[in-house]
Amino acid sequence: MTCSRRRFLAAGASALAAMPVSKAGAVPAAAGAAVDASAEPTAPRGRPMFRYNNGRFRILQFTDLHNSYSTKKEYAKAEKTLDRIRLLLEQEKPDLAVITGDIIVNSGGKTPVGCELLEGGVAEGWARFTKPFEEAQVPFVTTFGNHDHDREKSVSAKEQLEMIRRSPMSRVYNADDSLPGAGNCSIPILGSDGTDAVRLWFIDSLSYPKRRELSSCAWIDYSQIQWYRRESANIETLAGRKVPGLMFFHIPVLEFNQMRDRSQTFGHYGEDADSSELNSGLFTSLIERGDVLGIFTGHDHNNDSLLQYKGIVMAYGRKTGYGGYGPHDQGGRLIELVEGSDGYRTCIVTPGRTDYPWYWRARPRE
Amino acid sequence: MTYTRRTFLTGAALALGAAAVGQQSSAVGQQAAGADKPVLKFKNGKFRILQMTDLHTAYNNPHEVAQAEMTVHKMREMLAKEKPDLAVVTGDMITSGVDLLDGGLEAAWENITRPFDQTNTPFVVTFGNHDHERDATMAEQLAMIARAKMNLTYSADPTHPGAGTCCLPILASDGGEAMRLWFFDSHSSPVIEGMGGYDWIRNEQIRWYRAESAKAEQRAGHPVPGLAFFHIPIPEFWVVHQSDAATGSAGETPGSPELNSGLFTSMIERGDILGIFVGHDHVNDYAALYKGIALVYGRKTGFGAYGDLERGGRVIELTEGKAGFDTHVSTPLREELYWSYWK
Ligand SMILES: [Fe+2]
Ligand SMILES: [Fe+2]
Repeated sequence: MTCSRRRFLAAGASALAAMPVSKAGAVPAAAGAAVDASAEPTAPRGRPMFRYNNGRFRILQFTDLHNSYSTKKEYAKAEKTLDRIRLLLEQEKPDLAVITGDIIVNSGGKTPVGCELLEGGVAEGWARFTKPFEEAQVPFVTTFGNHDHDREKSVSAKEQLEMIRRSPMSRVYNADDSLPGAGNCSIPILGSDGTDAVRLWFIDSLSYPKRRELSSCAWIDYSQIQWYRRESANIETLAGRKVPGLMFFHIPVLEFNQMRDRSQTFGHYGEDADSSELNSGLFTSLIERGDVLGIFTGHDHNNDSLLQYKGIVMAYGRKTGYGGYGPHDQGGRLIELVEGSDGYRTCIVTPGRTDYPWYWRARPRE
Repeated sequence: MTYTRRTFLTGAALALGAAAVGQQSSAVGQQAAGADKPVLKFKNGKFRILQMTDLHTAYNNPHEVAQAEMTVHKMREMLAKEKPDLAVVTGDMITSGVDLLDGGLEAAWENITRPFDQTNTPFVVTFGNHDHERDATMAEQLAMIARAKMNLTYSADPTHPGAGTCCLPILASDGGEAMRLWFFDSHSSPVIEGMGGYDWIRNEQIRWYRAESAKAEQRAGHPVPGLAFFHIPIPEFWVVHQSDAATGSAGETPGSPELNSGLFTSMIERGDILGIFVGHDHVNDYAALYKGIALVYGRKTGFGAYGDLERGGRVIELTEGKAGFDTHVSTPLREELYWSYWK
């Protein structure tokens, strides 16, 4: 997080110890995650798409890597973080990895780009980041975090997206170049019959508003919300029904503050959601459209919690990076889909462990 | 507010009635059509609005009939005292049944509009949750209201949910557009099942506001300062409620929708709205500034339903050429809670 100062919650830490813990395997592992080329066809307009893999589709969310290459100490942490990603990719063999932002940070604002020790600069920072996915042959999508926008003056978000897209395993793209930020896009998961079975949505939650006095964090822009609404309506028209969706972005929307009511909150909620102070209405638009069943964010490193609110599951990932503040056990969030099922599984994964397994059933509103 | 006592709504369909009737076109966003309609214009550099709210007139039993008569009398007293250039009634005008009234619903609306016609006071209404709680569609009810010669309420887009979401310019003395007033139907129970609380101002209404606001800016060459009126407070009222920023009574938690549809953020982004004026919570009458937009409750006017504050209204005084307003609560014998916001 840290759009502003860190706001810790009082009774946060104790919740972690009390939760049931199970060994890896609470979420059934998919057979053979090695992705062959035919599993990743390219859509007619050059748009990516995914397919169910033997009736399952497993997404591994990483978040807040906080890679930085301004000092040797940071450099070493970034290497550790990438090794943690390698280890978890090997352990979980997901069909897709989603990295929800704050991937390269600029050393606490002290350096402009955070890649000073790299000969190839920011481009090399991104190339190092994409390497583990190439080694494991796991396709991935990124959404930018506020810190990824910190070097806007030297390299724009759209330029950084092009650096990421150089990786053969990258699937992120700009659905509409006029939208703020970069990487606002949606990608289908196709069922065995070739139809749009699930829609994955990726939004750039931006960084700071022009008028800083309004809010420390920016809000998802009206144009991004209207883009989602239009796309969602088009998809419904084409499919003849609402297509279940999962949405990924970095900064939690204000509704995540509902997690303060611990009675319904699952997992570890260690700090208040550092959302924008202004609510631009994305969550309500998801309710109005009725197709998105889960929202997955990062940004608040002390949180890996989950709450089903008004029918939509709002979940934090587990922080993956060694840089910046946060948990001692860096990990990821696994999300498992089963073709034709209304049931969704998710859990937190760390080396050799699975925590907070959660299952929910949901379907788009008729 | 108190939601549970008000769940008479029989179905979502009520809120969705196509507003084909009572709609006046507003092609260039100028004042509603009809040459006979009054034009809102600054006089001697001033423009005075009287907001009345939560009339809660009902006609199910003799007690309610008597209260409705007292309420209409209070409206007359307020109009006589303040002589506004425009009156705005922000909802909950008729609650539940009209059994004991000859002429039924039409007569109930006529009781409300008559004081305006008799004093030649142009008026606009925004519907409250209770106004949605009957079999007549919102479009049908707006058509009944539109029979009053001083009525300026119309539906800018008949496809909008509810009725009466519209805007009106206030002209400068030289005839240009000085300010713009915005009116929204804030609906009743959510159309979507299982959401709880109240419905929210919907995406299509917000889209309409953004488009009209951009057009007004284009015509004027700058954002046109505006005021917005509707019945149910938006969730941003929760932030200022009982804060030091609030001047006036804060007797109950704002009965806002549980979901935030982003109207306030859109108004921030458009940069033209100075203040938002609501009703709904009878024991709140405060004004507070939040992120550059005034969040203001009216003073309850009606004798039906709960609330011990003295019945009256809120006066909003605009000054030509200046972005801001003076406001205070007014009752027949008193003025109080003076508050100003100048940008
Ligand atoms: Fe962040
Ligand atoms: Fe109300």
